[in-house]
Amino acid sequence: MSKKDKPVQRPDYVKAPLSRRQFGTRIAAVLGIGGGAAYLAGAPAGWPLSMKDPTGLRSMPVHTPVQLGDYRVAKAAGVPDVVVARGGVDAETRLRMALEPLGGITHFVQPGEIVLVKPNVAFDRSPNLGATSQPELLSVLVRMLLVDARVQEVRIADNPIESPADCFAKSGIRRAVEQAGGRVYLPDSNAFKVLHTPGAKLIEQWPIFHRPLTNVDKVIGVAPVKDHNLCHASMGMKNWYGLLGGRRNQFHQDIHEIVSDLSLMMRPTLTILDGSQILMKNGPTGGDPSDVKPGDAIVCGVDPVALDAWAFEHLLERGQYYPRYLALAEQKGSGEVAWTGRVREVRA
Amino acid sequence: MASVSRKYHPDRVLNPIRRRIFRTHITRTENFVAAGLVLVIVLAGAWVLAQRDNYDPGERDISIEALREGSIAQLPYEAPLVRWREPGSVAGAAGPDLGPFSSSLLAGGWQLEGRIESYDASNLYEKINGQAEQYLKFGFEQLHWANLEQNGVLMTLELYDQSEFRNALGVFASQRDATQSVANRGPLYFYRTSVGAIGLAGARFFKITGSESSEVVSGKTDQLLDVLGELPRDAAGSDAPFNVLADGLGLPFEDISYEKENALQYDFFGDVWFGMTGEHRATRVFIHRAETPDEVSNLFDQLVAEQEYEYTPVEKSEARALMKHEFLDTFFAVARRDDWLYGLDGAPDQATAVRTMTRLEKELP
Amino acid sequence: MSERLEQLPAYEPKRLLRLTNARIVSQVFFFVAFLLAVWATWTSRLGGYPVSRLLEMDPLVMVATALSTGYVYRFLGWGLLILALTLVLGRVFCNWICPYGTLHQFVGWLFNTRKPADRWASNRYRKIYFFKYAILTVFLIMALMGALQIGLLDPICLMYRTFATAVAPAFDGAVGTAGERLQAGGVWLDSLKFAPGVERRVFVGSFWIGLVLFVLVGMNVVIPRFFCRVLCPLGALLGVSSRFALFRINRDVHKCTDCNMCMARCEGASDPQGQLRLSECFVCFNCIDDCPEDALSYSMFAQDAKQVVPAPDFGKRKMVFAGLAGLFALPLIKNNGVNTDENYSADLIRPPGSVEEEEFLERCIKCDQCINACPTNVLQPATFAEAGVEGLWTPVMNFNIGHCQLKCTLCSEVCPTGAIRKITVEEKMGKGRYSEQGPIRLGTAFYDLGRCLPHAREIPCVVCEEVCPVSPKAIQTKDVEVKDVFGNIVVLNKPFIVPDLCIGCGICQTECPVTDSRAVYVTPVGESRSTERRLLLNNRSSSA
Repeated sequence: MSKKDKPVQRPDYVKAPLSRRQFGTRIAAVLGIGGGAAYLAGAPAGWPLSMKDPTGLRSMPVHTPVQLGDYRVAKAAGVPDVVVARGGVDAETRLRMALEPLGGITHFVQPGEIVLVKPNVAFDRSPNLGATSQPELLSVLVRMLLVDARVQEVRIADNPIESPADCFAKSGIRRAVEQAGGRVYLPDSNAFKVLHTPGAKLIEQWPIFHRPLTNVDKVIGVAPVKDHNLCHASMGMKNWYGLLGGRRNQFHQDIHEIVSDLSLMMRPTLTILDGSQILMKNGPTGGDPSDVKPGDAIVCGVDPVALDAWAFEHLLERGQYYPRYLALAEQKGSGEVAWTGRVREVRA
Repeated sequence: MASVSRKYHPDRVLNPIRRRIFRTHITRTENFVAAGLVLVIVLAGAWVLAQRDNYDPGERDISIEALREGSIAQLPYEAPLVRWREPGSVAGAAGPDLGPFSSSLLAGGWQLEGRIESYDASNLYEKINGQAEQYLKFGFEQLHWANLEQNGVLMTLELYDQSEFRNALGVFASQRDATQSVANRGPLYFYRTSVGAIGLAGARFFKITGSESSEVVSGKTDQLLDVLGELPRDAAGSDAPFNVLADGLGLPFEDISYEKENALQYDFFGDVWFGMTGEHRATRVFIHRAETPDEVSNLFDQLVAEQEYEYTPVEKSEARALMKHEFLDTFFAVARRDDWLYGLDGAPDQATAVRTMTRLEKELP
Repeated sequence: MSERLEQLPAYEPKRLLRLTNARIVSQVFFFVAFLLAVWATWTSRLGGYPVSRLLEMDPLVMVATALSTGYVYRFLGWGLLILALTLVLGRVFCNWICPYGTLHQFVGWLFNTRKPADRWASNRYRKIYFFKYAILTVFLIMALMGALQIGLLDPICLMYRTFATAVAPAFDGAVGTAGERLQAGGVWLDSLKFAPGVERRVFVGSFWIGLVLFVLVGMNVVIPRFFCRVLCPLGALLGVSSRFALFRINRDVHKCTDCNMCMARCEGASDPQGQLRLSECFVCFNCIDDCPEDALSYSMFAQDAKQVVPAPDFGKRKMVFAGLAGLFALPLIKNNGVNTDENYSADLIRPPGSVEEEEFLERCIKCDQCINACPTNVLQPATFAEAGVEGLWTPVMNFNIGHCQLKCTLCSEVCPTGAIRKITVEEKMGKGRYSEQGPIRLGTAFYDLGRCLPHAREIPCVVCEEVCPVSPKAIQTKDVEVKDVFGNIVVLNKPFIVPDLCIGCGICQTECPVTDSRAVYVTPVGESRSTERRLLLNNRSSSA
């Protein structure tokens, strides 16, 4: 600093001393802020507003699991558990034929309810390859729910393996369902919640595609009948796999357990198996027309286990060497394998 | 100190100057050109939006015809499942583990599909849901299940070990089609169905089921019956009284029956085998084998005492009794030897009774 | 007609319908169109939107690919439109159309707190502005020799790339978080309307791509429109073309009072107050608005030939040095040795429809439209490790992140230059007319037997077989029964690859539960686009 710039003490300079009041305010501020911070950081965990985390576990994220309801409807006496409709000119007549002995769709669904229809849209394949549910049947079902049963909303949801938008587009399901008046729910990043399924062995706590299940009254599964490389057959119960989130590819290490767990997780109002394009081999992806066998059956029922057992024997034509998951599902109380005497077959 | 205007204060974040123009003149041409440009832009925007429905990504797919054309019929070869073999097991080294069966199970070029599965009482339901109960109540011990395959024809062989011959018989009786006559081959009792056979081998109940009704299946059924006939006959598997009746007296299978309790309507008498002999199968012989001779002796006395209410003794000793019914004039005989108790009832005359008893005595081991 | 404009109300049509206002409308339109293109480049939204048209209109893309390949692909002829506009009107593209220019102009304007005097100074021409011509020369020389690098700095490519890989995921994330917060409050925000996908998309190395944008946009605070004036090779190309423009800004020296007001908002730093540097002028018309004497006009007639410098400030000397730089850069890039047919990265898997690697590098402009279109997020901008310097930010497939969906051909639909040729599903699957050549193979899958659960750990798994999309499946199993260490007899389906059937779609790798280093993985060997990288001599399958 040059001499010129040196500050000069002027005689008329008056100091501005710290007033008592200012001093007091500062002390109070220091004590207040410091004390508050000390309380927040140091007060035992149970105290109000305490931020103390003595073990490091208090700050871990907590997921409050949700639980699914039981969507089943009481069955009238003398009604078969499974109905098979064969023949008929189109999916609509067949579906009506199949539902009639069960009491019709109005037995299962009441006006004003919200219904989730869960198709299998796992891959981006055209419907005639048998890897996904048939759009025609879904459109008939959606219309039936909206017109005959006068429900408030029909939701269609799945969490496919491949890109959801593509799968719904290429399987023809999005177009069919939206034209019929249903609403498609695709999985978005906030659509999953942790689900608690008491009694399930592998998925007691597991993230599930919960958005379409919120406030839902009834759930209907619409599944194709497919060969499956590991669990032999993917039908009505395996269809619920499409609601799971998370790293679900680990479940192949114990596939039968997970499929039977799924039957415990979801107690559907109704299960519909579509026997119009049956994937006989190369499942569950298929991809070649020679893998598919056309059929003319629609199977509806309230016992998912018997339904799968029957379809395994009669649609996939695999005899009675049922996959092990059926026995496990029976043990878990989801239904009974022995379908003899509980199936009614109707033919156009 | 130069005062910095508030407008250009160095700590300001955003541009303080409003857009202003200083020119004094705008030509009509410029107005038209500007309006024209805006119009062009609007049209361009409309064009872009109109492109929206040119095509749908969902339609970008391959036609099913093209797929069908390029379809590959040929399936890849799948190597058969390699079974687990305990190290050092020589028998297994030659081929698949055949469980209780001999190697002729696969005779005639038949392949074992998968392994021979076996189940016990704790997991039987996994294999035969719903039907397990009818085996479990007859002392079920083990199920061996073999799937055989040849040129697309499938056959299953189910072998239920019911621990005792009489249990197996019980299962057989409950599943038997009464219109079919039962054939006998060695230790086997069975009848043929259109796709196989059902029957028993010692303490084991078996079912043979083919996937079709054909020569191939019936031929293999025949051969499988031989395989079953060769099964080792463990002690529990053969029931001595049954053998006396069937092999000794040569009674047909249908004429032999077994009563677990309440034989001859006596609550103290049980575990008795019966066989119908003689003309019109009127004479019924019975055999019971007790644990000890003392037991037999007690039973004998009790039986004779009870029978005397309705029968008059014709001949009676410590080990033998022959009696005649008071009204029906039929004969009842009973005798004991070691731990055996045997006899007959309903014999039309004394000669038949004595003859039959002698034959019976001769056949007893 | 001499009334003061200032006295007219602002909404008067005469004042409203100014060229500068039309320009702003145009800029907003093209910026929105660009955002729409980025948003619509997604499977459920694409419809028929010409999402790559801005790239296809880019004359630099046309010129450079024409130099490198000798041909003009598909819609690239649209570039002539811009060239023609430039030849007539000057560099109108830069200030009327270019969305990247709009971004720079807007940011530069928004944060401009300079005092009026500094504003003039900041828009004065600087020597350094020649640099873009050097960049252009280097890029064009390299393109001519077969190394296309214009995508690094071409504004449209750069902006597409940045928005696809850095801005869009940030936006997706913001939408997702907003949705999460709203959901807690009981409101459902359907994030799929704004952002794609279940999983938030990630892009490897997008940090650097984002950083480039951040730095270039930030530079506007230091030098207004730094990128446009200093770096932009497209601007340079248009600058060279605009020297022949019929229309230009003309200064009436008799009216001009040398007040320099015209420089206050001059976007191109083109010296409208003196001799107009024609090749620098963005034709933004701000100078006309700002001239209190009405001395500036934009016209074809009555131009004063003394008041213009038509050619760029790029002398022979600079041109020769730039050309030499391009010539020397070429072998440096080409001989880097990371991407030859003998030594190439096992991660260099190109999307289906890609042409052979050498031709691919002649075509790819790194716009990353394919990466934006990809519904499974499998396409990623390449890093140095995968594709070397030459292939930086070109698309590669990362099967840890996603897989190539069997019936999807989106990347080939949106590629503007034919680096990924437009293919149909039929061609991709090798059916119908294409059954002779067989399916398009991206590579071949291999097993890491030491990590595969059934192979190495006696644990059943085979997710890979389940998801294999070809029929018959390219993953088959050898079924073996073993007694595991706990004494249980388990049936293991030990998977193996049938290379004749494998198309390298990578779904096995994506779904493999051994997630860190996958037990099944795809490498590019056997890709069908190349004969040099072929694996099998004969295909044993009857299909091909």
